[in-house]
Amino acid sequence: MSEFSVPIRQYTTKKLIGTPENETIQKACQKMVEFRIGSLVVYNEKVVGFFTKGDIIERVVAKGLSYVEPVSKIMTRDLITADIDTPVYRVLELMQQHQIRHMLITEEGRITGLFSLKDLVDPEKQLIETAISSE
Amino acid sequence: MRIAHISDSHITPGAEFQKEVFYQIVREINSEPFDLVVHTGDITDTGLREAYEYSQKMIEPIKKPMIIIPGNHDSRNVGYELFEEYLGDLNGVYKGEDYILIYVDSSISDRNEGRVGSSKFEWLKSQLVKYSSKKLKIVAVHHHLVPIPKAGTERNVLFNAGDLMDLFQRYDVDLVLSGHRHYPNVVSVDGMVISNAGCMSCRKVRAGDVCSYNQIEVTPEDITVTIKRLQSSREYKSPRLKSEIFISEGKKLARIVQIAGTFFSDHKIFERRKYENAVKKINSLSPDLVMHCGDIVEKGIPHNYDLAHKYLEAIEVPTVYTPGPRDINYIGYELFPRLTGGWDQGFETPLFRVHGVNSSQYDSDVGAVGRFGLRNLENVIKEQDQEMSIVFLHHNVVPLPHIREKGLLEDAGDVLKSLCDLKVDLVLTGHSSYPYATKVDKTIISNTNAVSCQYVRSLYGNSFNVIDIYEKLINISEINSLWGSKRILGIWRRNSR
Repeated sequence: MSEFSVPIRQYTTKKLIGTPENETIQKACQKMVEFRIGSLVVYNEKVVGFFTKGDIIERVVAKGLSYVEPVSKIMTRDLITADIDTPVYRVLELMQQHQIRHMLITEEGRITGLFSLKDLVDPEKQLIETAISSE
Repeated sequence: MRIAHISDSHITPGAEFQKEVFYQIVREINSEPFDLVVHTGDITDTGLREAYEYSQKMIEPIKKPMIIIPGNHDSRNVGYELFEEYLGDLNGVYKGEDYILIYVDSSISDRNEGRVGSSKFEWLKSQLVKYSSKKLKIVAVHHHLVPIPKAGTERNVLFNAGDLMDLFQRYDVDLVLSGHRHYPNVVSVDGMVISNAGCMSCRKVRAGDVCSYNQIEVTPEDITVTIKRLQSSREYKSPRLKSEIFISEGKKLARIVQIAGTFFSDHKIFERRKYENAVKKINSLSPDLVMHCGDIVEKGIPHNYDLAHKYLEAIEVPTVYTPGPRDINYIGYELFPRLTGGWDQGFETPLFRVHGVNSSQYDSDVGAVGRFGLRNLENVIKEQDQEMSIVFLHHNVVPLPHIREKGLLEDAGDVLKSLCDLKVDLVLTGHSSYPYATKVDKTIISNTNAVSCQYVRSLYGNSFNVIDIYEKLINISEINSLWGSKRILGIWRRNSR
């Protein structure tokens, strides 16, 4: 059984860190720094949006938007999602099509998790980093 | 959905078997609306043909769908071949209307300990993949996954219990059914309920207990396990919660750094650069406390302790220590308290109190807290005034992935049960060089990797843990020793007081 044919459930983070949609961009960024994470879900009784570090650079810093604007102004509203029982290879295909590194995962239509490309890549990266810096 | 979970009936023509108790439980099972009966092994006492013939006759009056799995006693005398002849498949999947139950033979012929070997592990995983979308997933296996109280020495756990727990949690298994230790116990491990049934009808009960079985009710919201003894019952309820979104953490109250396995020595096994980078990072994080969970030195000899003295000076925050076995071998037993200031070290803030416990023994790899040590620990935890209690020791209290059971405390079952009953907030350990964090009932268990020793078991490389305590939640992350990169191991809501 290939690791790419198993359901994305195996690699899904089921504990998400989020922010209310009326939170300021600055406070939301402080939360990303505090937890050292690259994305946040935006929550208002359910997940209503999502944004990443890349979105902050593109939609806030580069455009000179004020940091005290609410996150609802910059979040992605049309969320790209995959069901938790979708095979890993299919999720990777979807991520390539949409040019995204994070995929929100749904179960029974409700967003319950997150898959990040980083989770697959990190162990390999770590082995290389350790090898090139061994004494 | 309702399950009657029975185990360890040890049916035999001999006096060990209590036939009347067996019949009484059968009458209860037949009179209640159970959808399924699951017998988690050791239906026979000897695995002999006469025992299987007798068992087959004894279970005839049970008028419900029934799954029976083999235990170590059933496989004695190559009894697993007879099991198939008399009782059914050793491994398989039972498909209910809206659930599946995967049952697995964990017995090893003529041995008490258990194992789910690599090919069976792959089969098990393939079944979880196949039935991934089922709303209710149940696994039954004879040997227990999590240490059981009143079990004596904790040496009959599954060899690869940590790998199985990891697999089950990745696939959102709701319920695990086990037996083996003749003592009933129920815990929730990060939302996965583990029901361990006691002894159904065997005289070999523990601690003066009586025979029992577990009644389980599963609803979309909860799993309730009732340990049903002959004269009493005790209910355990756990919500079915597989995912959570954390919106508000509140104010940060404390930060603790957890390290282990510094392994100071002149040997290449000690990786100086990793240690120095880790200390730079630790100092920059400004924790309230560093807790060293053991294996400070590679061997307990004076030169290594001289190195420890030099290197540990670089840590600029208060540090408490508990020894690993390496710290107290040779003359480490004398050197450890001189370096660190004492054996069972503590630390207090207005928010929490730390209780150190020495679980290492001179010239032995076996870890133990001991009955006397555990009672002392219970007393000091009960007497503390602070809101939070933190216990730290070297050896593991739960099985970890990629590790056989040797890191587990010999008395892990009693220690885990006691700390969970006392609602200790955090238990920090440092054996086995693998970063891992989970929550058993209300108690978060955090094990840290080796910070600067070449012996690691994680692809992420050497690391240490950072525990951030907020008003509303606790976040545990591992930080790579060399590069400082971070990975979240777990987030949990704080216990309400």
